[in-house]
Amino acid sequence: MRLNFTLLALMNIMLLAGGCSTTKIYKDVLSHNLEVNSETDSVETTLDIYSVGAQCESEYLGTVALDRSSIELGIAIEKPSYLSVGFASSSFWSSSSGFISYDFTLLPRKAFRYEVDVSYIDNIYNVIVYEVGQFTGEKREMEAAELWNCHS
Amino acid sequence: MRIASTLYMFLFVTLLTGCVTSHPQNATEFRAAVPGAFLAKVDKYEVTEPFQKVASRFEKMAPKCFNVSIKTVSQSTTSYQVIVTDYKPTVIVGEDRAELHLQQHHRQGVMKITEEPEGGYYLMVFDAIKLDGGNTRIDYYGPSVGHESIIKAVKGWASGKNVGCPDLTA
Repeated sequence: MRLNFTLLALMNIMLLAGGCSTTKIYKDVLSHNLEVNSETDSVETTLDIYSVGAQCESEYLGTVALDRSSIELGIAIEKPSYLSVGFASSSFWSSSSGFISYDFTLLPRKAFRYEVDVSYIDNIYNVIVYEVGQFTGEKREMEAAELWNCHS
Repeated sequence: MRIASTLYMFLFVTLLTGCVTSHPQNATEFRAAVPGAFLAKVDKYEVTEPFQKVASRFEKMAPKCFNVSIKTVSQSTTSYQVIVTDYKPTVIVGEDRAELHLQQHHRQGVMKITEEPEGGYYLMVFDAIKLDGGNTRIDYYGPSVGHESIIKAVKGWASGKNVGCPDLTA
């Protein structure tokens, strides 16, 4: 599972670097249950979204550019989604570039919405996922163990 | 930049061993080797956070930030280098002392010169020590140059300010 996702990420990077982009815009058709709040400096931040099947197979659904401080979108309910927040930096003068991602799998529940706080400040990044009750408004930070993944 | 940091890492690993006959095989040996090693240092500072909070952040953030593999590509007109590095964190928490060990294993692009401990060469060790009055002391053992983002991130975990993961590609 980890290997598959790593391969997917590497393939994406290689294809992008080669000018043969496979990136597609995420088709946001569901009711909004995910809010991504971001605060970043000096990097381009993106969110890649994959669906995850019963056998842990993944399907790339698209990418959302986190170019605004807050973005709302919808992801499937009661089905796992693999989310990858990517931070891409580049320096024209040194012709160097870097890419690091924070990946997690979310299994959204009915009657809940999810908030993801993304930050990248001064080479320090953080991704915190919250679950919020739609009716109660109760908000809690999700633990790493809750961010379900196939290989756990 | 990356070539420079790779060369630096090579030097750090080489010089830490003295005349390259062996390399620290555990955190205790690493702590003992750092004070006399070139391009390495021991740094001690105090934070006004209680020990339990610091230890708890070590436990929460170290696996989140350091269970990763990083691929770096450096290219110039005369060279092309690909390095793949696996990081491994270990956190040990006791009643009044917490330890964070960070190891790195170069899967590709860097030559091994001495016996490598399981999990990779020791890169850094941070000890958090409970102090009277609710403060915590941090003892750092590791490189004196480079890896600023890691050092800054762990300082953030200790102080509770800008808590996050270091960009290991920076």
